[in-house]
Amino acid sequence: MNRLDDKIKLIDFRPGDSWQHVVITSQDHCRECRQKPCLHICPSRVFRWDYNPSEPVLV
Amino acid sequence: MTEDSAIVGGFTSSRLAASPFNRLTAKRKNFYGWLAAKAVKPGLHSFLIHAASILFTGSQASGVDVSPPHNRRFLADVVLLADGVNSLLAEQAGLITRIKPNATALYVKETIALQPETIEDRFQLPPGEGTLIGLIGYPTAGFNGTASIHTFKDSINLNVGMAVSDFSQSGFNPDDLLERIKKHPRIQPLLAGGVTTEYGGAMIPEGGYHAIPQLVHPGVMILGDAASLVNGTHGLNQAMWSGYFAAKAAFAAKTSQDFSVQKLSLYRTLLEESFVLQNMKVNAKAAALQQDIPYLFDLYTRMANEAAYHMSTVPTMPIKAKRKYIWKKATSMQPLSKIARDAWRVLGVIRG
Repeated sequence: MNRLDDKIKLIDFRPGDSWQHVVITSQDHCRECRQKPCLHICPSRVFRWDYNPSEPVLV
Repeated sequence: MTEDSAIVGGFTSSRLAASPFNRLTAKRKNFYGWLAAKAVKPGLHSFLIHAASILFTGSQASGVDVSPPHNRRFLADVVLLADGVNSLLAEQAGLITRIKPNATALYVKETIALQPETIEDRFQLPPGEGTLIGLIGYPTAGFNGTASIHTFKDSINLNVGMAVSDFSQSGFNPDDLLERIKKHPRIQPLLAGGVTTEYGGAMIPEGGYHAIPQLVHPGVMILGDAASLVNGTHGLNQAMWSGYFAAKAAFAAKTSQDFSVQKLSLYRTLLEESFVLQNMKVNAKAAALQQDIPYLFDLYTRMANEAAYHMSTVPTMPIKAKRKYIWKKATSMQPLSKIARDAWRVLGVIRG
């Protein structure tokens, strides 16, 4: 098994319906962040971006 | 390890596999469930899936608020913070500063299921016994970090990790490193035919002694990973001892009805009198060493593998010339003066 999405399916997690536990509160901060380490370090690739400066970083 | 080679050393003993057992490998999901059950049995409440915050009366901690879906408030004389490496509770309460990416490691793990006989055969293990293999060099793609293989009865755990700042700098996702190791010619045969059954990640504080925050605050003690009480591969045992010492300090405070910093400082004193802080103090320079010599694991494993390769080949030149060739090869990778300087630094860390 090599695809990350397949591995994540193995994890037993129950996301809460009433609240989101990871939220980006300021896209301005993301725009100013040069390295955007969040795109690399998360083992589940929670943060995604299409490398278009006008697009937000997504959770 | 390098891309195509590995220098292997090991120790095996039947004494390690016999009672009294001293060193064990346990899967987190099993261990945490067992440990939580131990805590709940005498009457503790255990909440999963929640956020929390510390209640203060002035500067004195007076309890904990547990968020939805539980919505509970607990008043307490003492709050023990053991919420892991990235202690948001302590940070939000202003008790510690934010963790540093270069003092925090990120590890990922994959569990690969195999038949017990296959594991025993591939790792040359007597029936029912296991092994732990540490890997440095190639697994972390040029950065300082480690990987390891733990065998279990019917599965293998493959782990790899390095500093969060190194992931950020390299642009690697942690999973990229796992997949890279799985393709290594020395590792691939060990995993062949296995089925991945688990995947997970964890952060580990690796700042060492100098990264330990103020452990005691009015009505609060900080424990385990939240207190950065990790010394190399020793983390879980140190966390448990910190819990034991914190419980002793809490009991003494309760007996005297004094929950001041001065009274709770018994916790810090007990840690200092034990192996926990004494060992961390001895290894205090190790964290700085890995930051100051970022090529430490990669370059020196390459040099060692290169030398070992040439020593292993049948010579077509006089042995004296071959020795000179190996020496020149090694010192062309790193000047002798720098090797000596790095060796002196490492010696300094070992001496404490």
